[in-house]
Amino acid sequence: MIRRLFSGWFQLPTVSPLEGFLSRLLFACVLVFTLRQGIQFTTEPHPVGLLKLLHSVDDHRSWLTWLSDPDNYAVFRWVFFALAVVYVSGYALPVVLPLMALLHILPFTLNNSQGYTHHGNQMVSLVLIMQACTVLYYALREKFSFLLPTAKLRSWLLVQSMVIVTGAYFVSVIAKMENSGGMWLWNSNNIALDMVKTQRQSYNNKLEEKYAGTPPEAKWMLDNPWTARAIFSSGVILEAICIIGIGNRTLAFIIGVSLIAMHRSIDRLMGGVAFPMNELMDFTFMLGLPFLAAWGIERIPRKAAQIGLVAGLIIGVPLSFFAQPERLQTLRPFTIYPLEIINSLGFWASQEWGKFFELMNPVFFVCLGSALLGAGIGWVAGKPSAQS
Amino acid sequence: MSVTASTSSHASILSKIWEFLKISPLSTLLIYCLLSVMIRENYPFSNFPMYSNPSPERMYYALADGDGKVLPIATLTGITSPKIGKIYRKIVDERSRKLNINPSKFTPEQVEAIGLEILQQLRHEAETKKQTLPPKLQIIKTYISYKDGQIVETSNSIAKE
Repeated sequence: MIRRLFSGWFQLPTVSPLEGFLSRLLFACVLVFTLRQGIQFTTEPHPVGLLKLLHSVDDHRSWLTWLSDPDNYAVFRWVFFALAVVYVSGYALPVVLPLMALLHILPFTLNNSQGYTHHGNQMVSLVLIMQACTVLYYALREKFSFLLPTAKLRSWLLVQSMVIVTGAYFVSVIAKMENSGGMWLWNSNNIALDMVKTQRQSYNNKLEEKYAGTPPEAKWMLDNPWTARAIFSSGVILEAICIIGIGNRTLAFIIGVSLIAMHRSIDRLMGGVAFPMNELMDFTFMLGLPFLAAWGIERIPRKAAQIGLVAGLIIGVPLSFFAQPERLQTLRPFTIYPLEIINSLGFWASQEWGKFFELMNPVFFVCLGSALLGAGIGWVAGKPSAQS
Repeated sequence: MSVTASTSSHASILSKIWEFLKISPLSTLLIYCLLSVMIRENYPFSNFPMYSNPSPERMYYALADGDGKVLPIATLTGITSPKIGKIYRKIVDERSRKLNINPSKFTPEQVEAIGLEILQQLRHEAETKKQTLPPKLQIIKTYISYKDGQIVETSNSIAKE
């Protein structure tokens, strides 16, 4: 039992080429999604990270504010998107990943240099950096290649991404214990006061009526401190033990689902404190959506049919534009349509399910049709080679 | 003889741990955790300190006009309400290190100077967003606690233009 719990720390999981591809595809979508908003900041008043280093060279110069120019940011994004396409293809990873990692940290370093820290994108940048380090380490130790990643490298990339995802939660437990003098679990009932505070802050943002007043759950938890301790402590215990999910498919799935449920509960209780990036990373690397999808597709006996199905799925996305109502076609022209589909990941955070299904229903149906068509063509085309 | 055996046993255990770390993802996990704890809030690193000290008294800051009427800060400046506290703490941290004094020893004048600096930053952001702010602004600090079955909130202005 104990050996099973920690088995992921001793052996690498097998990652098929298809899972590797789907994993890169989903992660690239998350990366593109993180860059959906422009940067508005024209100053660097409190430099952090890379900017702190650059400001130690010349403190009077603005190093990254060129990103706040919409034209510059548009070029920056398209360069990043082009690299993301190469990344998804799986070729030239030792060059593409370090470049993407460097580019990805720039806008968020500027964002966090305004005197406050936004905790939304660190996990995404760090997974990118870790993947870059992994391919470079592999290139130095095993083999330098611009070709598709080997089975060993695919496994390494998955496991090291899991290290960052679970490690980020684990680090937050260390911070909780350090900042509370080890009393976090005992004092955790006071988090109910944070629920009130967050509600007030949410109200003060835009003076929205839905955030006026005190959340009844917070008052109930303040009245019932032991229940509050049990609820909040369960989240921290989950954050502490999630590292046993590294490299273990079953545990990672269970922990991934639990982490997403935890984020949803926090969002509900705190009145709009969502961590959509964490959830998307949990979906990709813990819950293992790429693994589940690849496992299902690989049950199809003919390779050509598998390729046809995946190709059909991907081609279905731009094709679905023509199945959208005219109003949505005008709102989202064809040139930016695939990006808009990726940006619909934002509906997951805002839980605007009506808008989500209005946009995504045609995508689901067209992709399903084109995937079946692709699989059928592959099945027929692959038949002779399968028989020979 | 026993000392030699014990030393050899320790070496063997260390060697096994080293062999384990060489192949295990725990080695990178350990490096990542150490770096995050040491580097703290320097993007992309963070020690994720949100809700890390659940004390019985919480506080938050709000932007208000000269008469104390709360303003929709995110709409007007693009900076959300929780970020005022973060900016405040960041400046206090920088200044306390520079002046070598404990943040709790800051005089009301020093606190007001920091508040006015934040108001200046908010005005700059509002200008960038082409939003008009009232001629006089202030920052209101509110404490929340729970006493005798009631949620108690007390507010005071820390900086007023």
